[in-house]
Amino acid sequence: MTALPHVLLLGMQFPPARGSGVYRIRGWANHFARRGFAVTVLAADTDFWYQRAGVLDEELERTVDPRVRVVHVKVAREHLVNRVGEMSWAHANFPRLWTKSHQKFRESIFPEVYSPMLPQFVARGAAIHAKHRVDLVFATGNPYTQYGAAYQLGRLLRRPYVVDYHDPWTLNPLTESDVFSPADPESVWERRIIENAALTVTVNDPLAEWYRDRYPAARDRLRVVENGLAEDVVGEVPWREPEPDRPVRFGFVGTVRADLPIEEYLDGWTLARKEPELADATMDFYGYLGFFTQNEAMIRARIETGVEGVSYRGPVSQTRLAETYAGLDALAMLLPSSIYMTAGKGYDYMAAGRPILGIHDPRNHTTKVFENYPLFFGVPAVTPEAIRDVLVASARAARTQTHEQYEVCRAEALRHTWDLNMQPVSDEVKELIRG
Amino acid sequence: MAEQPITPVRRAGRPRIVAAAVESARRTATIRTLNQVVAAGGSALLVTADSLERPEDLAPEVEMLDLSATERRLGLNRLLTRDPARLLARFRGTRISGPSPAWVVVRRSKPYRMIRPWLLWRALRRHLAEVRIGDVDHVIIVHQNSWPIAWQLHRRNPAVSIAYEVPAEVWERAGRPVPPPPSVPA
Repeated sequence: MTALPHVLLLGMQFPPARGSGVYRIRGWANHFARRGFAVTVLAADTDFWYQRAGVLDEELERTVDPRVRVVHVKVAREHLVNRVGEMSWAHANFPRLWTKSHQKFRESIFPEVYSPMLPQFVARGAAIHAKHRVDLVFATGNPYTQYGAAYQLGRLLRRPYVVDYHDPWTLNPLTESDVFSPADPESVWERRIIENAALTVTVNDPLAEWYRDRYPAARDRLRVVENGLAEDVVGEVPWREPEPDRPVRFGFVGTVRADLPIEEYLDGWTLARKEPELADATMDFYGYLGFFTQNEAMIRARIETGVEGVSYRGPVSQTRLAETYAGLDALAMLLPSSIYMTAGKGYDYMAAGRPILGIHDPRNHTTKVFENYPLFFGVPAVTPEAIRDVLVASARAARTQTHEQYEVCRAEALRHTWDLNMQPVSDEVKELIRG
Repeated sequence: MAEQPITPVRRAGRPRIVAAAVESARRTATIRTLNQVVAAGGSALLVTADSLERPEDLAPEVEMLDLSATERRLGLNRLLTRDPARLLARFRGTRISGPSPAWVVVRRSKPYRMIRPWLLWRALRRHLAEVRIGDVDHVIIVHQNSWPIAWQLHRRNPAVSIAYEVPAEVWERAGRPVPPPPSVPA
């Protein structure tokens, strides 16, 4: 038992799960632990992630602060099994009956596919509270079911709860339009959750404005916590004098999502390779292929189309980012184009202190994050010609980069660490707990 | 008595593919795939449940098993298909045709459709000698309703893989070259 303020963090996707969302959840857990909170994380069991993603990032798990207590919940998953041989007897032998009845059961709990997790998280949260009083519930999604669990736990334990939207739910950030109508259960639940939350946190100003407009009753309780750099994990990428005679090595490091402009980039790459600045240049993709095993082959086929100089090099744990960046001269940041999206990988890219190519619509919020980064080369439009131009410009920059420029880039990266970004909200969390 | 998983005894180099095509969905594509399997040196069995004639475009080497007759003889189905009025009519020498009205009603009912995929597996259990589970390498599924047959065959022979097509690994395991995807007529 401890007298430290106790935060119950609902973070299903906690390391060793892999995926772009895990860094923020780990960021919150480590930050709260460093700031003197007792932190208990409710996470899915590791078998779940192994079955869903086919791989675990155990190196990433070692970067979790040892003071963080992780409680693994064996989350319901039968409805997510899509390999017939692995299904239960009832699921495989009465597929329509099982699917329909399970769907009704899920809808009765919460309007999301992960909803069977809600009672499990509430029960486990209550059990933890019985042994070690929880002072605040903090949920970060997706899955959005965790917000429902935070709402229920808040009522049950009579404690404040905070919801951290690292992905919006009822807004499609790619199309920038609503996913559901106001009468849909998703919209009803979101209103209920946000209007009753002590704080609602999101990742950038455009998203915060969207929430403020949508939920004016919670307007004063909206906060922005940008993603950040885990400087203790990524480490320092060493400075290296440019070698103008060597072919330039470009790289993409991060989850290769299906919605990245891969084809446009490779078309631009093909054009750029005809320019002298990119003679014999290489483009290496590092990272997981999508979030689930079933998409891997399709995404890999989109990269490995026989374009000269382009290779897929496999996944890299965040703990090995520095050595990966050290082998590259410039970093290509491929992103979906949306005003509501900010690249989490962008903060790690900054730490490399190298030229960075922004392959996304300038409206993407990442452009604003990089406004003070001196070696940022953003495209005015995601077209092969514009991509060619930034490839050529960044190749020149990589060959003429000075140590001073590297230092300025690194200093800019260190202005965006997780701890700096999260501190204002964790201060408020402390105040909320004090009452 | 619980059935034990069998030890697969596979004829080297000749993959055996079973298509659990109990729904008419994807029938043309399934036939094309099975024709290609036998053309590439494999053996193939088409399992259906729709009382239709053997499709003309199905290669003669492809075996075919229709479960509809066995389905009618399963448990209570036997009573439904033996309508006393129709038996009497037959006794009187009156010509009767088509299925019994009770069977038609039940067969179309939602509850029956919900459990039919499993009943079709029960029907297939009576034909396991024709299926030759020990030889089966892969089951093609065409619809959710193919799942019970595929799952049960996999349970009895864990070496059986299941997919909507024939994956390359099936041919590689048998040490045969992977045939190109079946061509779709223009």
